[in-house]
Amino acid sequence: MSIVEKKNKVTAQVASTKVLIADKSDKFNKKKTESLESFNNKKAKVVEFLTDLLTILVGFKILIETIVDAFTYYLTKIEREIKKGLKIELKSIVSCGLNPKLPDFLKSTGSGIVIEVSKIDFFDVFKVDPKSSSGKLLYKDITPTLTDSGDFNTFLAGVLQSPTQTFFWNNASHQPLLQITFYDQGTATRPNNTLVIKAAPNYDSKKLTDLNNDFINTLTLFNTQGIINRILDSIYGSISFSINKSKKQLINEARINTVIEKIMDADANEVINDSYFTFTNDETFKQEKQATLRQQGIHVLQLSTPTASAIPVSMLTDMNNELGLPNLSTIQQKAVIANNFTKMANKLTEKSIPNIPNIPNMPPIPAIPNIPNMPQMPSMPDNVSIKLSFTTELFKNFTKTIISSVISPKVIMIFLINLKIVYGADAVYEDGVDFIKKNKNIFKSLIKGISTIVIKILLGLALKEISKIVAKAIVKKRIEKMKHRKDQMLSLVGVGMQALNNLASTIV
Amino acid sequence: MSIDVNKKDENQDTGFLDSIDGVLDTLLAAFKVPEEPVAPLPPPLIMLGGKLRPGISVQTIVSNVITRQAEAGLPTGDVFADGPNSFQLISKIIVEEIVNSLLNECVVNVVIDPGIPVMVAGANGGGPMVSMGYTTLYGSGNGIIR
Repeated sequence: MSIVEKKNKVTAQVASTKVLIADKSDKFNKKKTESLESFNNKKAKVVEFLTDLLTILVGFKILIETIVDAFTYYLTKIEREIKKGLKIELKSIVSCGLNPKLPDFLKSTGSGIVIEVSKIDFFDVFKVDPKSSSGKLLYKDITPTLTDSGDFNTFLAGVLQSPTQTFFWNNASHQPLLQITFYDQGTATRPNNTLVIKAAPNYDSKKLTDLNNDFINTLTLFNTQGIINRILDSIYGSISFSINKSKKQLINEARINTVIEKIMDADANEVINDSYFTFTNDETFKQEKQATLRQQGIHVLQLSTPTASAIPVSMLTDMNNELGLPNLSTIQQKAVIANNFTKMANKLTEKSIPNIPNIPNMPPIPAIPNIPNMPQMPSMPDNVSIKLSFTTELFKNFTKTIISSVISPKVIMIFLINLKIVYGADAVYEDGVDFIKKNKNIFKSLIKGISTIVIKILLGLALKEISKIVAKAIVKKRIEKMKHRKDQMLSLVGVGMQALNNLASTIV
Repeated sequence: MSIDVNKKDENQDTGFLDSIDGVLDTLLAAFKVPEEPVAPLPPPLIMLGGKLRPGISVQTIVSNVITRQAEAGLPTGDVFADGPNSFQLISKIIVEEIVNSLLNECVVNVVIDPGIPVMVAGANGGGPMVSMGYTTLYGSGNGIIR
């Protein structure tokens, strides 16, 4: 049986069971099925399929609760797995016949490794001031001086504000690990805007893997607020619009997302070849369209009539302020997120954006003559569909956002240091796509690992809901059998159909 | 500088969640519930009551379907802008074809289990005799739907 046939069988089972257990008063949402593209998609797209399936199984409230659980309970586990994977990959980069001791040029007495800031900051994070309102959504642990922050990106942002001054980044035991100096002015051997990185003196005698592992241990890859901000930005462009991100930058991000999506859709045994890192015309067009919409802070909802929607950055700021309150328990944190998600979903149902702004159009398809026009569905945005679409988009972008969070200066820097040690001072990652390509095994493993966690969450919920409706169906079937037996026995003693219909209400 | 980006995957996860097939099979399995067999009706009731039945009727079925159409939110009667209600017409055609097939093509095979009590009365040289026993083979027969 093909994937599409199996998908249709699952949805048909859900539909028939729901019809079987439906009361006469139940109202079926005829609009919902219009957006369920994943049901007829030949590609695997497991997460898309499961989220769409859940929209016909459960309501908005349960979906919100599930996504909030994912944000509050699973992120720590995901971060732990990612760090483990990063350490293994770093070890595999440097252990190919090389002396794992620190090379002399990386030691505190050496010349250091020179890294251009633009070669580790593929998302232009450092162009945003951590102390600005948008910066508060992108950076973590923002301290007055920045250079004493516990988050490496914030620390680096602080280093960049004090050229020629050397700062130390400490390990988890608060011992110096790396010393970093920023030079905005270049020399004959060093371009402008570069970081010179050396090990701290106490690491001179240690092995490179120790430095790598200790560095990875100091990193906080993401937190609940950060991931929520990034997901909402990747869907609605809320932050991108507020900080005027360039279209070029947004296209770069869309390219990275395309690669992640392709790897997500790959089978476990598929070898990730070069085709995953090159783009078709359709993909390029889609990237440009996404970039344009994000630049304008717009997301198009695929309802009966495509409808533009937006979530203003102020809603993100409000949620972050609430989540930033001291001594917030996990239950309180969950309540804050659920409450804000509900507010955002309600906001989307307001028709505040009358028209979809200009987005690039595909070349028009030549008109086919003599085809009668089909009657059009009336333009009536369905609030239920909009709210469900909001939650499913969060799930669909969960893995992509976590992986793109890994492509952050704090991670790229340590990988670039190792790359330069192995392949020479000129070795660089050209862009985010190149970074994934050169570390494709770890990215495949991470993407599959996170997808599996998301699938487990969604599948668990789907199975729970299916078992509920199947249990109801079993009860209904038994009652039906009893009713049929009674009807047949009555009909055999001469009771007519009309009389049986009148008696029907006595059992069911 | 050359970087080996074609090295073999070392982190393959072979769990069932890795493939859409595994997920879909899990979902489909959730719908499979063993069902108990239906309880038989008392045979004397069938024997007597069967003679009282009016038989299957296209008109009755179509009439019931159209009457209940509103439960599914479909309009009953002619839809003025679009002319006659074609859904009702197709309902009639479907029911007609099913009933025609049941009446004219369908056959009912009946199997009678072994073990039916048998009593035989007769006589021989020794005088009258009564023999009692059970059938040891199954019986079979054909029927039609009316």
